[in-house]
Amino acid sequence: MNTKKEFMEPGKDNKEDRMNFVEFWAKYIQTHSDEEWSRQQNRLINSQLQISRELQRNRIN
Amino acid sequence: MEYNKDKKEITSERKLSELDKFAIDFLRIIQKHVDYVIISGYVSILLGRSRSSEDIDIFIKRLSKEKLEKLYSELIQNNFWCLNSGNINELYSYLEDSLAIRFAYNGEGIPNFEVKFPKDSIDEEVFEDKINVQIGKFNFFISSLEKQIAFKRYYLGSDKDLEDAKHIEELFKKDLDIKIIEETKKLIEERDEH
Repeated sequence: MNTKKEFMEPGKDNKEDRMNFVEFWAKYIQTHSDEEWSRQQNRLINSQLQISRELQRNRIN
Repeated sequence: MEYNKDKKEITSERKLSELDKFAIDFLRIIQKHVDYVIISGYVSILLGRSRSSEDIDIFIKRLSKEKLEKLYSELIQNNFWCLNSGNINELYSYLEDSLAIRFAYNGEGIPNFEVKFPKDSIDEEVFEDKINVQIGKFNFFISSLEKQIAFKRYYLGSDKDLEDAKHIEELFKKDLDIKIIEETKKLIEERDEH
């Protein structure tokens, strides 16, 4: 696994900053193992699904 | 993650998320009955984009009502339900009207699959140049990277879609055929004019 840190340039506004992050993350995927980046991505996906399900359950109850 | 452009194949050793596991459960059944292609947001998520989604969009090839009924029965037997109707005639008519029907695990709403028929020749073409994304032992079929970029950028166009397009472009820029992106853009514009 590549442990060298690549830095990201902050954007002038939110839109540009998000685009810069997209670029940063694509480079991260290219320079790190599938296991490493997917571990981080899954943390995001799994937690969002969990929150959405809880909100849905609360709305039903 | 490796992309073999000639074989139209991407291989990845990524860990599966809950969303991926849901997708595999559903697609295992779908692929026994009909060809499918994943389009839109889940494509970029499958390829590592740092976001999630509550739904996964797919096109299925047009099929008869009888075949749809068999597919529907197997989905029901395997703990899925349709959020739109339990009546096969109604479901088939939704699909024929180019409307999407949604399926989730029984009694749940999230995540869900949004299933639709291709509505014209541009949609139908996604089956011709689909890409096989192999993760572990499972093969996901997604639309071509160039078409994904073109649709996200020139048809859908929200901030989220533009970011999805950029993600795919950054990740695979060495292998992308810019001509296909431009041609697809032109087709989208022509379709919009009509």
